[in-house]
Amino acid sequence: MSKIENSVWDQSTLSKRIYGNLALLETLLNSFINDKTDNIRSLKAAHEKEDYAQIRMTAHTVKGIASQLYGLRLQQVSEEIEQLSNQAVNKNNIALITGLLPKFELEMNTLAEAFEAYLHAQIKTETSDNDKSISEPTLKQLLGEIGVKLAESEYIPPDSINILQTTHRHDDSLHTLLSQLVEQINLFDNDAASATLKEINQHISIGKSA
Amino acid sequence: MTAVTPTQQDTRPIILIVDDAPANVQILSLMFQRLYKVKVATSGAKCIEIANTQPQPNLILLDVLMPEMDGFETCKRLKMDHATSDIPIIFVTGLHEAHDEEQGLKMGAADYIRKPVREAVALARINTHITLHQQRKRLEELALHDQLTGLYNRHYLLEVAQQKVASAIRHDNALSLLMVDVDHFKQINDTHGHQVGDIVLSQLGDFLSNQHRKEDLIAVRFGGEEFVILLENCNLEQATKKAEKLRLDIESMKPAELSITASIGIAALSKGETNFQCLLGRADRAVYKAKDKGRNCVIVADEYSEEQSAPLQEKH
Repeated sequence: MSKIENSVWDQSTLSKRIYGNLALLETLLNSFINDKTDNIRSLKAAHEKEDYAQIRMTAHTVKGIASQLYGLRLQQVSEEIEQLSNQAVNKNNIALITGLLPKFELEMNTLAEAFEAYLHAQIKTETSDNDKSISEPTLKQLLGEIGVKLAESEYIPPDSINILQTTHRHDDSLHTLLSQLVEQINLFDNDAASATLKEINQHISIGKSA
Repeated sequence: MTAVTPTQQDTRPIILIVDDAPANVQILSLMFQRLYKVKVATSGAKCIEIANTQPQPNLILLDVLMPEMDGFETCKRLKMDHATSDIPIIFVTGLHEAHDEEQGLKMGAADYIRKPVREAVALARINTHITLHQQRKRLEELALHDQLTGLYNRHYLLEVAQQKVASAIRHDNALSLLMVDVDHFKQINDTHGHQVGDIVLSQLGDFLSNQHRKEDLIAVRFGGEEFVILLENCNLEQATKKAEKLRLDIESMKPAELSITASIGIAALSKGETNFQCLLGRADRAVYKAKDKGRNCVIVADEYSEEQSAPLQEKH
């Protein structure tokens, strides 16, 4: 990795920080990639409306995420925008924010590309994992445990549910629902995840009785 | 890995992590899940909901800048609610200005940690605040419970009883009170020694404690050999039946292999009666009547009247 790329993303420090937990790393990177467009759109819309509270909120959120993921250049530009939006009554600051927006978008895209490249390389080395599957009783037990944790708003680590994304591929609709469940859990959308879990349990019980 | 860690018998302290950015929640959860049971929320409203749900978190890690309800507002609401006000809150935020930190601490937060979080420092601070919280809870428990029987003590009763009276009046609910006095307890102490006397009280306490688990009642060791039972949503007729059953249960209990009996006075909250001390005083006078009548019986208190209402007499 070149020096410039290193400053885009300090992968080794992040890996150390999350104890080499690859499942979590993938979740974090995918989350960033998925939110990228919305975050750029949100910042531009707020800028157009001169809604400096919203600029501050979005820049602050992106700064936080970038700092957690060691996306150093994005963290820096987000922080600059956040600080300027704090004093947005000053017209010079407004002009400075306008000037920083292209840089913000560029760093968002550059970091997302770096993450995509990493994930692509991971998929290549992990193709055999795509065949991983679990039996129906094990699936039911896992879903039961997830249900309890969702009801209690308890944290569910990505590596404990990753298997749901590869198992039961022979049943397309079940596989889709399981992947959706994993995504909702990883985003902490517990209400949606509980609804999906209910749907999955219905699907399994119908499949059994059919 | 195919199993979500089972939740049964997980006695670790609970921390609630609140942040609108899922990536932040993931990283913080990973840091702390080895030592704590971690709950998560991505909004202030959800945080308040979880904080009010049993088992409550022992500590909340709260982000500041969040859409709709920010961390400061969430903190304010948690501190204003009696049910959540003593849960320690640590702000975890990317706001690095001194005035933000000052504001957070002024709102009642226990601490303020800046992002990116340094794991060792955060763990040390979290541990300190959880330990302090647990010690404070333990002290509160000691202050409100009787050491011998484990039941609530007089101090607790006087603290909550007036609230129960107010609530019963407000919602037009029945409220009854039993005062239970072990008969000839002095003789037990004099004849068999104080240790045996303690065993008698302790076993009676265990029995009342079990009733407490089964029914909607509060059992209190009021002092010496005297117990008070507060029965919510229970009218005089129901209370009388319960008291008679309790008298028979005590008669057949044989703590420390001794036969014991109890005299019981009953009073139900009457119309116009707004003072707990009056209710207690009426039950107490009913106990005196039960003693005069030969003990081991249940006596219903005289009806409430404003002129006759007198607070509890001191027994000698």
